[in-house]
Amino acid sequence: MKVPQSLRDLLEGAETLVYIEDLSGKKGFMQSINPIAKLVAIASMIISALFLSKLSYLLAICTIPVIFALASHIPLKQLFTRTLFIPLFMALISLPTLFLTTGNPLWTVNIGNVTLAITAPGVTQFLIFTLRVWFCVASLSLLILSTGFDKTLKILSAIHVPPLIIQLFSLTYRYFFVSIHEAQSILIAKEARTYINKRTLNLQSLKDLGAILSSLFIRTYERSERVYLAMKARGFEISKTNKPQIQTLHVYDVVFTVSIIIAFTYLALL
Amino acid sequence: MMGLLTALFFAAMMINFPLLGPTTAHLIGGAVIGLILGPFAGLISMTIILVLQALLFGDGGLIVLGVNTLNIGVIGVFIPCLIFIALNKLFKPKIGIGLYGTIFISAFFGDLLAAIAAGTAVGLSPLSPWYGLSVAVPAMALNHSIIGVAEGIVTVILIGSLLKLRPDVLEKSPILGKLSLFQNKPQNPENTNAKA
Repeated sequence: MKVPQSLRDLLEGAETLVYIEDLSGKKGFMQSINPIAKLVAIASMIISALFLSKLSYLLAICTIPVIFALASHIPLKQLFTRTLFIPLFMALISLPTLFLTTGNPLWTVNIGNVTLAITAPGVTQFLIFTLRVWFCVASLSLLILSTGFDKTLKILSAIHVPPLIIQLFSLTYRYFFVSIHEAQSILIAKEARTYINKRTLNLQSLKDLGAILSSLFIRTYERSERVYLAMKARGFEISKTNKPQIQTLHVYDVVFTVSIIIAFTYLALL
Repeated sequence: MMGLLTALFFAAMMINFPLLGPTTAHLIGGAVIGLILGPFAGLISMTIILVLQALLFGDGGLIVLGVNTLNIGVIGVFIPCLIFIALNKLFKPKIGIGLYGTIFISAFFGDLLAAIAAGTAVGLSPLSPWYGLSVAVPAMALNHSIIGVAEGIVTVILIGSLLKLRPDVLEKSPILGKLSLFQNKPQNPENTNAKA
């Protein structure tokens, strides 16, 4: 049976979250690093990459997320699937740079009276831009895939994000699964009762979307009221929420972070 | 309520609907969130959605989180609220075409202005010098004038359904609670008797 697109979108979202939790629970190199040390190291990697202007250096550092992923038992297929879309999109956006950068022409195209020339500096600029985007996206993905939501909240708490915001993140994450469950029920019921030959944007599809969202809102709101009352009955208060404990900082966490900062700052200054 | 609406629109943003040709679009939800929760709580809610999308799905990104929050969180939430408050004060619409028109205009312009702001940011960015303001702003405005209509229709249907089915939820809202139908609501006779 063909799964409707709207259902597939939701299920893919939920699947991604479950998969992230699964990967972050594995025993691997990045998973063993203290989350805050990891955040600082990856932030320094990303910031340094923004200042790198030599193609060879960028090519070299692009191997680092791949090596870290292998050491952390994160499948490369997963890493590339998550990280290729944005660089490809950015590559499409930066295509004009191939033609607009002045320099030695490598290849010329004649379209009517217009002659377009792809220049060597244009190709270099294009590759630098695209690789830089991939490196930043891959590094961030590595952080997320090896950390998980629970530890991400602990990082937020450690950097003194207000408890109300952390609670909101936490509630949103939990309600997200509730919303997906409710949305699935509504969409399956709708798909079972209707036949749509062609998916195009029309007033009816927008009306359906609005009706689904309002029904979803009311159902989830009623469920959330029940959950909140149950939480209150058990003594829940945001101000009384325990501060999450973060794992202790070991020597190897410090060594890892400091070496990354030194190496990447050195590369950026070259 | 904030957690719920945030999660709901976090999930709703995943439902794509077809636009022109092979392209698809999804809702932003800034107008609904702003009108139900109020602009300040709406901004927090939208920021959380943007952070979660950047962290969990790599959508948007952390480096552009600030500008995304400005466009979608501040402009996309505050503009619909301001337009709604102004139109509500001017015309005091009752349930019907007047109220739905006000909600539609608020949502449409919120979406459009957020897109124009994003186009302006791209046009001014030194990282994309080949797309100036003259290219980026019209491109974003044109696309989002279509998405804005969709956003407006969905916002009207969602708020319209809530007005019919759960008006008590909207009565607590700092923006929609100011509607004349809630302000001029007769007091519950049971409560009046109790007070007496």
